[in-house]
Amino acid sequence: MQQVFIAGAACTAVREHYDRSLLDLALEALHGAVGSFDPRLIEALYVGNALGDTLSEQSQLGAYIAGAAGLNCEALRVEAAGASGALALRQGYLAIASGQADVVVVLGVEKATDKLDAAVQAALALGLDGELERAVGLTLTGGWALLMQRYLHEYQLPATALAPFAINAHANGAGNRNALYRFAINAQKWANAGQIAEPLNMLDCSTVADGAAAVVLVSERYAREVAQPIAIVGSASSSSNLALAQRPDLLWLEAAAVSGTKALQQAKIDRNAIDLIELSDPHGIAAALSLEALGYAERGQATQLAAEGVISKDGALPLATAGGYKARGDVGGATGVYQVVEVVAQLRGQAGANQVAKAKTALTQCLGGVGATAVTHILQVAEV
Amino acid sequence: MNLPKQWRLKGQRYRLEGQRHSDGRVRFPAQPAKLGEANDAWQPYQLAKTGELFSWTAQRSNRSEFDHEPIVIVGIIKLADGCLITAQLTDCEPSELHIGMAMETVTRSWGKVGEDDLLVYGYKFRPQLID
Repeated sequence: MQQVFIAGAACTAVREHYDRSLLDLALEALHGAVGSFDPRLIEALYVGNALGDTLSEQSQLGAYIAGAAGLNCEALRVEAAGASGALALRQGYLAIASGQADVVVVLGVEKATDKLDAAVQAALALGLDGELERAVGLTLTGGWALLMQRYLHEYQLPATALAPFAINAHANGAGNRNALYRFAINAQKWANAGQIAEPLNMLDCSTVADGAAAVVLVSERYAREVAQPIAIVGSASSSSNLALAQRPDLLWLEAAAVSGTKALQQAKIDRNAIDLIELSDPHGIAAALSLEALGYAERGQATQLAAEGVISKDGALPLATAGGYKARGDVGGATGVYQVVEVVAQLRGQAGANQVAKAKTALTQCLGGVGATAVTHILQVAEV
Repeated sequence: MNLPKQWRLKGQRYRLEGQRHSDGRVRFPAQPAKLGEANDAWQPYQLAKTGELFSWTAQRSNRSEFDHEPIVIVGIIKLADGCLITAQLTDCEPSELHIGMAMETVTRSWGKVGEDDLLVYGYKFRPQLID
């Protein structure tokens, strides 16, 4: 297997870009990531996108975007709800690792604001089981709320136990110029927020917005010519039942646990060697269950990591250093690529006010639906 | 209009038809054998009609099909035979709900589909009226 490196990375600001199209956002990210790299060397384009056919009414996004970018190469869309971008990254990783290609581009793009909220809710709910969950009225947010309600019951916790996740995300988002929400919140504001899907309140729910992020992946041959290449030393994905009621254990994200374990084994490192982490954290409960699945906390104990500041920028396991879903904004299927762009900035020492000191190794994990798909990557400062 | 789908799902939605394994496990809905399973390992089985509330949420931001309802309450019910099922809850307010309370199934309208406003019915759950 060839080693895989990230040569270029860029993203657009996450906003409600009413004046911009999906293509417009995609091209900005592609130009930023490719930079001065010769585009004639690009052998494939993998597009991570969850909602394009329903909200932008456009399929064949691979060829659609490749054509606009002036590329004539293998081009395809990868779809796994919120994990689309991360799974596209894994396809790009596999293309290089297998020796089939030396240069590929991975793009995550989502354009959600062309439709009103009820239509966005309907599109997001496509990531649930259609006959067993969506048909009875469940939304994606409602799915996470069902997990949170049970979690609070089993571990005898108040809803406020999950507030530190959103507070941490907003504290970090304030220092990220690309974030949708660049302001801090506090526990009082969190406690006073109105309900969205009880027990999830407004400040425990991410906002879906528009954005695009891209990375250029290369083999070692090209990595030598790049300043500050970042190595992908672990890549793994797994899946579990979409329908919550069909899972053997409602509060255990099996796919997250399996993909995390596999990625760490491939990287040959212990979880405690990770300097910073990005998770799917549209709600505090998602972050808590992911931390437990990855083994950073015993079951029912993840809220203590947040309460004790372990996940803060200066803590032992900084989480959501660019604001996470809650403050950076929830960019749907583009999220997995955003996470990697943000982590690359950290590993290159380019994260500005949010820089984590001496960051050398990072883990990103992205979930689709309520954790039915999980994709984990481990990135490291490379020596080539 | 997805009439064939509504017709295909009538056993599942009107009669809570699931399956029971020879070892006693129950699952919902009826489904083909998984890889590695014998085709006859699971037999048709009608689920229990009562159970207890396992989890619930009151959604205030809903899809367009449910726009007419300010709150949609959805729960997971653990049926008396051990099977979990996700369903809309009816005849109750969020303030009445607590995990562990007794629930029972009823058949109610799920809404209208298609240009001709075909009325679709199916299972919902409500707090149990009589022990």
